[in-house]
Amino acid sequence: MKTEDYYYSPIISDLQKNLSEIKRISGGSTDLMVNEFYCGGIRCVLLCCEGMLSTQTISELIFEPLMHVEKKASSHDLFKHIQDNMLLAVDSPVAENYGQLFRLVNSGFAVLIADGMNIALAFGVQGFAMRGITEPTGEGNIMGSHEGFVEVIRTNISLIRRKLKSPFLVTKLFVKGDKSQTDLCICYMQDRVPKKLLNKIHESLDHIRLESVFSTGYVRPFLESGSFELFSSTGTTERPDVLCSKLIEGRVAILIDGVPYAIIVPRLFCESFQTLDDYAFKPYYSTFIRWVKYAAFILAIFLPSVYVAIAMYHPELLNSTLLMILVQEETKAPLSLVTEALGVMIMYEIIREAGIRLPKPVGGAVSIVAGLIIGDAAVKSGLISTPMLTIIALSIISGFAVPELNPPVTILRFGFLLAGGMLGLFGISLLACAVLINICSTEDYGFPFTAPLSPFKASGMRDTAIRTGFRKMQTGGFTVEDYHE
Amino acid sequence: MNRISGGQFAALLLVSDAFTLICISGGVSLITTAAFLAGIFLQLAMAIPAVKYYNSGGSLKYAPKPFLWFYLGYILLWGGLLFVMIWNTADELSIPSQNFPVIPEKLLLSGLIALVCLYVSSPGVRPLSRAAVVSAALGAVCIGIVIIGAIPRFSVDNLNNTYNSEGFFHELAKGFVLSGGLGSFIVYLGYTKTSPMKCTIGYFIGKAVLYTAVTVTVSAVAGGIMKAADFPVITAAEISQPFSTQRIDSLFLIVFAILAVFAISVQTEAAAWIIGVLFPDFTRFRSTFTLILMICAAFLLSGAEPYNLLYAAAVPTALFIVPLIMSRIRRKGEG
Amino acid sequence: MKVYRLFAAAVGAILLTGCKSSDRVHDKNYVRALALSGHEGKIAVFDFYDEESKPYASAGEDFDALREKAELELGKTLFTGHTELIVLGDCDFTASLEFLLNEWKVSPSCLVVYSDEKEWYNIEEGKTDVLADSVRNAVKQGKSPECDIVTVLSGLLSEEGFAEVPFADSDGIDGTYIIAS
Repeated sequence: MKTEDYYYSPIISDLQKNLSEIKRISGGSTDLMVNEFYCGGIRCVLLCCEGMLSTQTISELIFEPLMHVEKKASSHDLFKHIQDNMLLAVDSPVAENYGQLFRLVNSGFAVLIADGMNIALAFGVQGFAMRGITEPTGEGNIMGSHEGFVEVIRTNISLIRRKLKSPFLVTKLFVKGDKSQTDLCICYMQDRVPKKLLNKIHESLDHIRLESVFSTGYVRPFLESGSFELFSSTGTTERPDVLCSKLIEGRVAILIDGVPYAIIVPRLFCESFQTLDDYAFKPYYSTFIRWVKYAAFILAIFLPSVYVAIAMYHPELLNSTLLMILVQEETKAPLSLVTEALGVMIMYEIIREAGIRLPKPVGGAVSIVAGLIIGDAAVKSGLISTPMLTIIALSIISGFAVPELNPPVTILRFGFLLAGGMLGLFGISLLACAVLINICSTEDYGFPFTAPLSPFKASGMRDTAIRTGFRKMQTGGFTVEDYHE
Repeated sequence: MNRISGGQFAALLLVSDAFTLICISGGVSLITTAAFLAGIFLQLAMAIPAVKYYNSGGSLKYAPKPFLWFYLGYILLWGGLLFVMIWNTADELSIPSQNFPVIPEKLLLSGLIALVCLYVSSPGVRPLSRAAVVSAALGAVCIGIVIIGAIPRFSVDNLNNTYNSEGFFHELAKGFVLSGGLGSFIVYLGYTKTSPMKCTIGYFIGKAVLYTAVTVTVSAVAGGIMKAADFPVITAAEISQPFSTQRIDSLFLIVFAILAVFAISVQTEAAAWIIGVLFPDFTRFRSTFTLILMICAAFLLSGAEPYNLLYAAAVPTALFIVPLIMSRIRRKGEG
Repeated sequence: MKVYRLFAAAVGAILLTGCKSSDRVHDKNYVRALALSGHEGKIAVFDFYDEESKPYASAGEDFDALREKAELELGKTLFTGHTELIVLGDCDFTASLEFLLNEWKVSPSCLVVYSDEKEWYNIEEGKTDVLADSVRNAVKQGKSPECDIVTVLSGLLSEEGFAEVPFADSDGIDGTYIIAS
């Protein structure tokens, strides 16, 4: 059965036929609970999904009041009475077709259908099990809030609303995914967001024709341009406080039900190096940490390739003492420098991936195997030289300083290693030109990814090259529109 | 073509100028510095008709076709000359070509630079100008490091070695030859967001600073061994020893590669734009076609002496005479 | 098709890198010092950083022949980028130093001394580090003139056409010597 077969079909008035149609569409699912009863003398059915609603809430707020409705002349009168005179739930949408009906039932609503009515009333009595608000796992910080987004979109909206109490904060829900019927929410500050940006984002979202939406990765490609971009021009965050700070700057956020991350549009390259802790510490320390991260980023990408290039092709760049140490160490290693480097980097990626996927009880064993046996034994046996292991380890740790950029950094690290192995520093510089032009051509919705560095904006440097104090920053009135080209 | 800011405009052209400066051959002394500065001042004065043309609302896009053909030919020939400079300078810089035993080193260097230029010039002028700003900043840092590393070798005595260069007027002509990128200056000037006059003045000031810093440093550092140096700027950089390194030829190779790529890409972008104006139906592979034509031009110019009067005379023609004629024609047309 | 092209490019890149055995970092002989003499034919003695490698004497028609012979007999390529001392004997000083700086790419801070061929004791015995240190100390204390290759070459290429360098004998530094172009 296809979605379009039932999605727009209007609800059948006759209750028996209605029920048959519902059972046909649902294929007789056992978790679809059908409760037939008389309400106000009219034959009604209450539909709900087992495990999705709170039993106590539905008993107190729905069953109890409905059982005491006076006899009504028709089902129209009954529904009018319930809608106008009874406040059974805060969220009470109306379903006019089976698509809306099933989406509401599967979202944890209790849906009331009556004999003779071609609409259904829904009551928000959701009570499904959900994860509590915990500290974000991917975006650690010291001084800021320890709340992170959860899987339930409405909870996430409330987290944003609690931090941004302005009436100008607009949140609009919509549905994507033919099969999954996933709720998405677009959030923005209507007094800050550029109208063109908002319209273009709506246009981009209209192009989504997916069957399901289960993560940010499903939606982000539609928000970015179709050309190959090494770095994403959209960002994600697990933190409501970070999201709110971006909304105030005039950006747009997209929340996805079932995903504890929000998508931010647009995103600039320099923002990957900004964390909320930067604004909690003194400006001089924050500026120092910012530059440490910039250096870490460069080290993460270039260190292995530059080391290999210099050692193989340009040893005159090294100090003679250092060179002789290197020569001594490499004499024992049977493999070439590039092979060693590739081997270590691939081994690290395998260990990293295994560490994420394996069950928690086995985690300790992996650490021992990876660190002690592979690392220590490989060096002692002479398979890998100590300088090489040190260089790769330093490069990988540097990559962790900017975790958001880890995927492109990993691939670039490999790419530059191959370029350095082929053509030394010349190969590295040619590849760097290509990567630079790719980064500079990343531009979505008219916002250059490399702003405010290029095109250069002096005012942007106060939160890029340094971190100005809040006494000066409060006079800025910065919005992302300043970077629009 | 998209609009670019004044800073991006200057970066595009200065990166191109820095490359030709690196590839300079023959002696360098204070006479060279004086001649280059005089040349820059003359070029600034010659650029005034072009500035007035654009200030009065003129556009190269709507100029008569012969002028577009002239600039296209000029830029293609200049691009070819850039490839010749790369070919000639390749001997001085050794790239690791052990893994490519079949391909001659010079061909490998030129070929790879051409390939990367193709990719770099494909996205358009805005990404190129943004990248040029970044590479200009990096280039400035690298030049700063080289100069700081060369300070121990600075010798005032070397500055007195004026016999290193071949006379004021020869150096003046050399300065004009090195300024072959002024053809693309005329193209890009029409697409700046800020006032053409401000952009022009800013660019020429930057050029003057760049030329002075480099030529004075080269004279002071390598003045004593200039006779033994085929490419004095490269030699001066080679004998600079920052951070206690033994030789920084290889670091200089990075600067050379990046500047070469951007120098050629700037010309490729300008020529591709002109081709787009002359042949509106030619929408794809313009950059590829332009690069192929430049390589053909390089073959044509490969045997010629780089610093000859013909090349030197072409620059004032492109910078002054042609824009002057275009202005007059435009004024007549409006009148 | 695009996937195949990318795959082929990646495989090609891996193969063209130093993954296959090529000149590895320990496959080179790093020259610490070299002594040079001869006009028509050249004689050179190389001393290396690696203490296990003994100094090697080579002869040839020109620099390229000299180097080729040395590399063939030693079985490793010579790397002169870290050379810290050049001992000149009777030879064309200007041409030799120019060649060493531009073609063999010796370090610009490489020291130049003059010594009679019979007194190449320090090179042949592998004690060039001692000689280099004594030259540096002498320069620091003002007992010897600045004698890095760039300074010496500048002197030779100047209008005067000469340069003053330390004179080395078997006992070390013993005064200075004027070399002329």
